[in-house]
Amino acid sequence: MSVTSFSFFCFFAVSLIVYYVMPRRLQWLALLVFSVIFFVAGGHPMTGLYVLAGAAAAWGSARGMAAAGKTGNAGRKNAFLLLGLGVNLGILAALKYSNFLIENVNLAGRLLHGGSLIAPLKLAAPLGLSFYAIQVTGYLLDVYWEISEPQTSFLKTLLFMGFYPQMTSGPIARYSQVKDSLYGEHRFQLEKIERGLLRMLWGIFKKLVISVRAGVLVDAIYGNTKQYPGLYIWLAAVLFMLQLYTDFSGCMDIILGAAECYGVSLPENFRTPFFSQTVQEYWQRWHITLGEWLKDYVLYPILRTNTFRRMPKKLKERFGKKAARQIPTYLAMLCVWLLIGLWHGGNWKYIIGMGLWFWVIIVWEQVSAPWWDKLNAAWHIRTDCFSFRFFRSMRVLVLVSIGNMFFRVNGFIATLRTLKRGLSRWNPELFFDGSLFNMGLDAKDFFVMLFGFLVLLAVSALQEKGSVRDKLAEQNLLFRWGIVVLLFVVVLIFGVYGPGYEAQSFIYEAF
Amino acid sequence: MTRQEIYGTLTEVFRDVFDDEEIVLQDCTTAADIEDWDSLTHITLLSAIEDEFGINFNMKAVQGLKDVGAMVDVIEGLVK
Repeated sequence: MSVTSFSFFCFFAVSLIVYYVMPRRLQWLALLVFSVIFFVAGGHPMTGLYVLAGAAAAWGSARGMAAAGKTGNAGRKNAFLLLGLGVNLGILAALKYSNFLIENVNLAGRLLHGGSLIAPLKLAAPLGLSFYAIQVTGYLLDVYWEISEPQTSFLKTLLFMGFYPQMTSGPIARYSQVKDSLYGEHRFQLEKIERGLLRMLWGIFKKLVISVRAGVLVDAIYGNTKQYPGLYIWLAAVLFMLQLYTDFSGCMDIILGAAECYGVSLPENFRTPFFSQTVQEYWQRWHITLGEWLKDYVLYPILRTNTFRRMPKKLKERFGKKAARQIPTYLAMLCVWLLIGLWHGGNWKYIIGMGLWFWVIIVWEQVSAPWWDKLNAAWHIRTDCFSFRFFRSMRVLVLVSIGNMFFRVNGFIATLRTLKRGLSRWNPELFFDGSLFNMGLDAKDFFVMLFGFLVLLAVSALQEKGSVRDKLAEQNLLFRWGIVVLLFVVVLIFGVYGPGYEAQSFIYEAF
Repeated sequence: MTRQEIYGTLTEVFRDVFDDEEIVLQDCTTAADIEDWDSLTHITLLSAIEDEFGINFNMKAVQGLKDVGAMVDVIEGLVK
């Protein structure tokens, strides 16, 4: 059930009524029941057994760790942690990455002997496995490090893993962030519903008015790069960023807005990433919860190992104090970026394009930053003005769109071929001779997309100065609901949908 | 070790890690006030503090230490 489908909104409306009608102490249970219904309606209900197994392991091992911690039995505590992580990450590895392993074993086999050795497996993974598995991993580590108390109720643990708006695409929440609002009692407040609905509408606007249209052009160009070489490819690269952003952040708006209607606060996942000045900053504003998760549960623990802690002392004499401190950090970052690539999918194109590429760029940014500062000072280049900030944002846009090309194009070699074709011709005439309107979008649709983009840009600029919804909340009721109705009408008129139409799945739902 | 003494030693550690002799610490000093103090240098800083004071931060402290005041509180508890 897509969260932009009519059936979802019917389901959401009914669930909201039931949620506020029933006794408040049972509201969390209602959320669990809605989540089960949503999961079953999403297809492959039998994969729910994996979720149940993961939740049971998390519940049991969290309680076991807490008990072992009280008696000071470190060995038992470690064993419980390994049990919880083993079951949840084991399911993730088996269902999402076993074919990647088989492909590589077969590749090695072909090189050595010729012919395939192992047949790929056909395994169905539960909805949102990559999101809930790492969310519960964070929970288990928090209990292990005594940052969080364990949840004593199995059903509440299950709800933390499978809260339905969030389950399929994140955001990846920490247990301490959501437990109070997820299990708490909420009275009906019209303002809260209004804020939630407005955010959901904004997300639907992004998805149905902008993302779907941008996707048409992206599919046309990437689907036939022989016919569309040169600047077409760079146009597709930029449009794919727009598509991905409006798709993923639109999905987040719907999820966070829906959760807000239930009174549940989820962490933000985006902070206007395209205003970033560096690629590092971009990743601090894009998929924020994944970045935070990797920082807390992968980067910091790696840097805290004895090997990494001793490294600066060993490197100091050879490379100097500053480099000796930077090198371990860059090596730990390499592990993080490889994981980011792998998290996006068991495929080398993700590991290289979404992982290694960004690691190289970020390390280069850090190493070269003092040189650029000196160069700017020597050439008297003003760095505090709009034009310089704009230039830097555009540079980020180009670098990120190259990485995203690996994400979108089917295969690593195919991406390199696409990049080559992008540099093969200089054809700026495509922007003036009407070619843009011959790739599946007519002029009207193209300008609707452009209008949507300008609205997005204006709202993003306002968001840089603070919450737009907070500013709206200061206005009169009539004005506020006027905005809600206007946005609804705009989606109704300009959204891409119709009888029997099911909006494309959200890109990140596939993870 | 008094809070003032901790501040003195901590200031030296900060100056050494961030190569800036002008750093002056207060309870409310955060990463936003010191150039180069980001999520990456945070661990380098904590390791240098641990070496200097002969203490060990647990992961709860590592993730929670967002300002100098909190840092001094934890150090005060550990060096006693």
